[in-house]
Amino acid sequence: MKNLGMIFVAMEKIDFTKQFAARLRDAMVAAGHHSDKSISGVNIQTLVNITGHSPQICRKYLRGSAIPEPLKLIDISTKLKVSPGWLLFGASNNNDARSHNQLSIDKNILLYILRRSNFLYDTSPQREEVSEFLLDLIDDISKIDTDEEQLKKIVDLALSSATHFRIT
Amino acid sequence: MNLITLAPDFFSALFRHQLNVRQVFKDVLGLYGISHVAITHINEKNQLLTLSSTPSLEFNLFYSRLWRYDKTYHPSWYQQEKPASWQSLYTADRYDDLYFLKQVKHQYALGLSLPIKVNHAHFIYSIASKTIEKDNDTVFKDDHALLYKIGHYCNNKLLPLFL
Repeated sequence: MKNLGMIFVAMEKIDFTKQFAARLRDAMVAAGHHSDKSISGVNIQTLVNITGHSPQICRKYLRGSAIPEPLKLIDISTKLKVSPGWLLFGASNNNDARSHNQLSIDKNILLYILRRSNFLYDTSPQREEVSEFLLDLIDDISKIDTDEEQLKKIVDLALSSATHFRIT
Repeated sequence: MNLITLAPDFFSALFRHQLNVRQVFKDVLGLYGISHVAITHINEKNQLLTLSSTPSLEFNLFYSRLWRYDKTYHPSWYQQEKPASWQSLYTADRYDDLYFLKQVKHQYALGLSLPIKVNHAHFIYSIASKTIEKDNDTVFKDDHALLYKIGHYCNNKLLPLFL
């Protein structure tokens, strides 16, 4: 049986590298490096000059089958006059505080967390800390690649660590 | 041969102490742009146990088994006790997968692994930042002593959870 986590990672990775390639192409076109001769629509030699990488690797970046390392991204983004965060992560890292603060989670899991965490609010005087703890937990759970049953077990484990809220 | 394995309770330990762990890491998150800290303990039986400010990252890494391709957890690297950037430790054939899982999915633009031996155990401090700015870039590149101090501070407080 294939590992479920590995399948999730592979699916998301394909999306990410394609999105990165689209942003790279957009930034190159906006910076005047458009080319009608190239399939990718941009001048690959410019990317070769910026990165110091081979044309083969640069084609992979533009096809969405590879991504440069972070420090190389700084060079690319500086030359193309875009932020490295935007180039790497898209709108969610483009100094857009609203989207940066958003998270996405399955409704069933969120409901489960809210139901199971009732006891913390019922008995704890540290309500602000409880809220921060739950927000971190929800954020973390939203990034875990596994099935619903296992996520629920993780929620239970994490909430069990918070029983001391009731004691103090 | 040093065969590294996960401690039997590796996955439950990631989450079981989350409140205590969160409170310790909270002291250092935000300093120098640090947005992730994890400490991995490798005991004398070569078993790994990790405590993390962002346990989802380590869950995904270890559950997907990609950690086998991350030299951070290879004795030949961590026994040298020399820090290295995350991406320099990804093996070539799974570089993109590791880069995606550790840095893109969780948006850590800079990441550093800092290994140290204490008595008979090895520890690896993993420290990462979501931003690439001149200030934190300098710390991540050059001021490894400072990052070790941050790791030691957290490790001293969390040590009982590893034993």
